[in-house]
Amino acid sequence: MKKFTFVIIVFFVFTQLVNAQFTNSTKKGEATTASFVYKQASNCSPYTAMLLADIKQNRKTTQLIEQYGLVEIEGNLFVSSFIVVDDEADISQLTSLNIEIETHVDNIYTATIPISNLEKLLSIQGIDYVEIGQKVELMLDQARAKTWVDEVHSGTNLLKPYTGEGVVVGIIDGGFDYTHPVFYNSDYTDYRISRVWNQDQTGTPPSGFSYGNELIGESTIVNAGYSSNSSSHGTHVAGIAAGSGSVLPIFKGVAYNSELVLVAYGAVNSAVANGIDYIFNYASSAGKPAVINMSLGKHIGPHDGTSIFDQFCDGIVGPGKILVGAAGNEGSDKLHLNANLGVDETVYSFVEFPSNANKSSGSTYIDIWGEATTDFTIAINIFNIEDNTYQGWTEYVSSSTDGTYEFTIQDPDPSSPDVCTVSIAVEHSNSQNNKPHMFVIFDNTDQDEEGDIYDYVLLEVKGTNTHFDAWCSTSGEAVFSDKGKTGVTDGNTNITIGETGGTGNSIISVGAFTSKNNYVDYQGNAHDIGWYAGIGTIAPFSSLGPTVDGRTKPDIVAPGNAVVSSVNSFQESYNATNTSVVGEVNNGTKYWWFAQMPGTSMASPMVTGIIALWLESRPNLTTNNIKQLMYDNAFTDGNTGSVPNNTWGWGKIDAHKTMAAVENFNGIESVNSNNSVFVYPNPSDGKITLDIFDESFNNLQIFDITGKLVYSDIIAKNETKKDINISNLTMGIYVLKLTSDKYALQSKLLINK
Amino acid sequence: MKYITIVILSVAIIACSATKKSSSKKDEPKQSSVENKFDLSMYTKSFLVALEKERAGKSTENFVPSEKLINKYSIKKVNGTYTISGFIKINDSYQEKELTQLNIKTGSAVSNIVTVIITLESIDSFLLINGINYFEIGEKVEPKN
Repeated sequence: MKKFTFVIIVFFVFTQLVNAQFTNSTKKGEATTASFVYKQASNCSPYTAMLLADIKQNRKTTQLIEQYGLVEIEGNLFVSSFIVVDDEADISQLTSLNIEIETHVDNIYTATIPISNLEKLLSIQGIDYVEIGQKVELMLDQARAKTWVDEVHSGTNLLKPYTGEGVVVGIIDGGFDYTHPVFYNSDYTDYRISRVWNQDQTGTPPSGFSYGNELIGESTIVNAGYSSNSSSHGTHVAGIAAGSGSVLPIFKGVAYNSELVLVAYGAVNSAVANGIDYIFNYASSAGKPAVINMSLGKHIGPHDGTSIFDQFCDGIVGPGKILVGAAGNEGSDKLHLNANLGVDETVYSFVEFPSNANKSSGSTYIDIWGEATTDFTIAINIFNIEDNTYQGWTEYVSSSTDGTYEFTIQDPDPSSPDVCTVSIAVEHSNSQNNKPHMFVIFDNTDQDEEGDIYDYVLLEVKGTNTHFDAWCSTSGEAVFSDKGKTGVTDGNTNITIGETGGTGNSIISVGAFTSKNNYVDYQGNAHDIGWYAGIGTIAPFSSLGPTVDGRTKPDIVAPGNAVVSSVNSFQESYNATNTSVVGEVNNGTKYWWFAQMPGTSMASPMVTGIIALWLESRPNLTTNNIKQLMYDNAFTDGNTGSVPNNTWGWGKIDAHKTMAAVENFNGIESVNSNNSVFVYPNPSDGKITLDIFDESFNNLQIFDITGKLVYSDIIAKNETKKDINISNLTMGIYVLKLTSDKYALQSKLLINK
Repeated sequence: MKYITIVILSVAIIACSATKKSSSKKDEPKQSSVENKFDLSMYTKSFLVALEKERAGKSTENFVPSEKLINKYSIKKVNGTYTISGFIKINDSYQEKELTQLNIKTGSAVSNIVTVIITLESIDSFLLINGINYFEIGEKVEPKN
C-alpha cells in the first residue's frame, strides 16, 4: 500500500437552484409526475420534501447519504439546512429538537438538523421556510446515476457486481496525465495503465509499427509523466471510462477495475487506425476483450460508412473487439448543405466564419458529394452582401471530369485587389462509393478594407435531377448561411454526425444529453454550464444523424453535458483559479485536478466504460450483439420522444437494464450479422456450404423448429470450408448452430426443394 | 409546380439583385495533374498539388516543406525525414517489398487495407507502384469537446 495521504475536498453548498433541479429530474422507472409519498408542506423546498418522502419510504441509510449528502454521527443522520423564520419564531425550540444553529443573517439561519426531527421542525410556528442544502453533485456521479451504472457496480439484482475486471479499455486521444491517481485501483495498490503508445514521441515503437514510443510498466509510464501538457482531453476521457474512485469516490469512473491501454494519437485517422490495431492486438495477447474509445472526429468524407477508415473498422471488429466513438459537437452548427436539384437547378449558399470578427474572412474546405451516376457543377464566387455585387468568381467546374484546379479570384479594386485562392479536386466516380465528389479549399483572408467585410464566399452548385451533400469545415468554425438573402440556401444541422466517431457501421456512435447544468467551482462560485439546457434534454451541441445512406445515428445517447473528471496535472491552465475546476486531490506537494467539460467526447467514454462492464459478463459480445441489447434496453422519456430518431438514436443508455439482459444473453448471434461464417446458398435444396473464417468453431448442429437435433458434425481445426448435405430433411425452416469453446452463432436455414 | 415556381423565382431574385457576372472577369484555372497508377482520394490530390507547387519542379530529395504545408496535411518528421501517413488498398499483385525498397513503412493490415508511412522523398515513385488500387493520406481528426 502506498503511503499517500490525500486531502479530499468536496463541496457541499447551499444553492437556490434546487427547484429547477428537482422539477427536471426523473428517476428510473418513474413517470415524470410521480405520486406523492410525502405531502409537501408549504414551508419547505421541494428538495426537502423529496428527502422527507424518501425517509418515509425507508430508503437505505447509504442511499440517503449518497443522494442528499447527509452526515452520520453516532448512528444519527444530519442534514445541513437553511431555515427562514419570522418574528414569532422561538429559536429555543430548535435547540430542543437537537438542531444546531451555525450562522444567521437577518432572519435566515444555517443549521444542522437531525433528519428524524425535520418534519417536526416544519410544524413549529414561525418557521417560514426550510431548505436543506443540496449536495452539489460533482458531475461524474450524476453521469453514473443517470445511466444506472451505480446499480451495476453494486450488482443490484444482478448475478454479481461488475467493475470492468478482466476487460481492456483502450483510449485513443491526446493529453494524458499518466500519474493521475484515478489510474490506480480503488485501494491505490495497483497501477492500471498497462501500456501506452505515444505516436508523436521518438523512441521505441511497438512491435509491427515504425514510429512513436511504447511505454510498458508502471515505473516507465509514470516516469514519463504525460503525453502532452497542452491538453487534458485524454485524461478526462479516460477518467470517465475507467477512472477509479481511489481517492475521491464521487469521481469514480465507469469501468474502474478495467485495464487501461492508452494511445496518444498522431493527429490523423490512419494513426487512429494503427492505435485500434495496437490495442486489439494487445488485448488478444492478454486473452481479454477490449473496447476502444475514440472521442474524435472530422467532416471530410462521404458520411455513408464507405470511407477507408470506416472500412478498416468494419474489418477489425469482432467478438470482444468493440469500437465506440463521439458523434460530434456540431449539432448547432449549420455546416451541412444539401439539396435535391431539379432540371438545371442551382443552389447558392454563403460560407461564414461565425467565430471570426470579420465573418466573411477565413480559410476552410468544403467537401461535396453527389449522387452516383449523375454529375453536378460548382463555382466559387466572392459576393458583396451589402451592395449585392459579384466581386469575382471561378469558372464552373463539373464533376464529369477528374482533375485538380486552382483559381485566384481577385476583386475589382484596382489599388489594392483582394485575393481569394481556391483549389478544387474533382473525381467523377469515387472508387469506394461511385459518387461524384469535389473537395474545395479556399482562403478568403486577404481582405484589407473596411468594405471588404461584406465580401463573402458564395458556393454555387448546379445540376439536373440529382442530389448533393456538402460539409463545411471540421470544427464547426465555418458554416453555410443564407445571410438573410432571398434565393440563397441556409445551412442545416442534419448529418452533422462526424466521420471517425460517428458514421461507421461498426462504430457505436454516442450523442450527449444534459445530466447537470450547474456546478460550483473550486473557489465555491456557482456556474451554469456553458451549453445550458434542461436536465435530461439533448445537449445543444450533440451532432445529428442520419448518415447519408440513411442509417439512424447516433446509436445511443449518454451524459455529456457536462461531466466532471480528471484533468492533466501537467497542464498549467488547470489550477485552483480555473473556473472549470471543481475539486482536487493532493499528496501534500502535487495537486491533481478534476474539472467539468462538455462534449460528446465525454458521452462516448460513458458508453465505452459501460460496454466494458457488459464485456466482463460476456467477453465475446460482438458489436451487433451490443447494439441490439443496448437498443432494446435503452431508456426513453418525454425528451427522447419516439425512438429511434436522429437526435437520440435508440434513447439514453441504461447500463443496468442492459446488464441484466447481457447476463441472460444466450451468446448466440445470427451468422448473417457476423463475418465469422458465410452460409450459402440459403434457401437451398439441402446442399449447403459453409465458409468458416473463425478457426475456433469446433461443432455444427442443425435443429428443426421444434428444437429437435436433426444433424450434427465436428468442425476440424483449420477447416475453412464445409459442405453439408441435408437434402434428406423435409422442406421447412431449420436452425444452424455453430459453437466454439467461447461462443456460438446461429442462423436460420430454409430448405425449399 | 408551386415548388418549382418558388425555386425559379428565388434564383431569379438573387440573380437580378446582383451585378451579373461578366465573362471578362473569368479567371482561367490552372489545371494540375499527378502521375499515378491508382486512385487517389481528393484530399490526397489536394496534398499532391500543394506539394508540387512548393517543390516547383525540384527533386524531392532534401525537400523541406513549409510550415503551412506541414500543418495543413499533418506531415511529420521521423528520423530527420519528412513523412506522410495514410491508407492503401491493395490487390493480388501487391508486393510489400516494393514499398520497403522505397523506405515506406507499413503498419496495420485489415483485409485489403494497409496503413503506410511514406517519405516525401519517395512519394513520386510510390505513386507508380503496382498492386495498389487506392491511396488516401491520413485526414486530421480532432477531439470532440
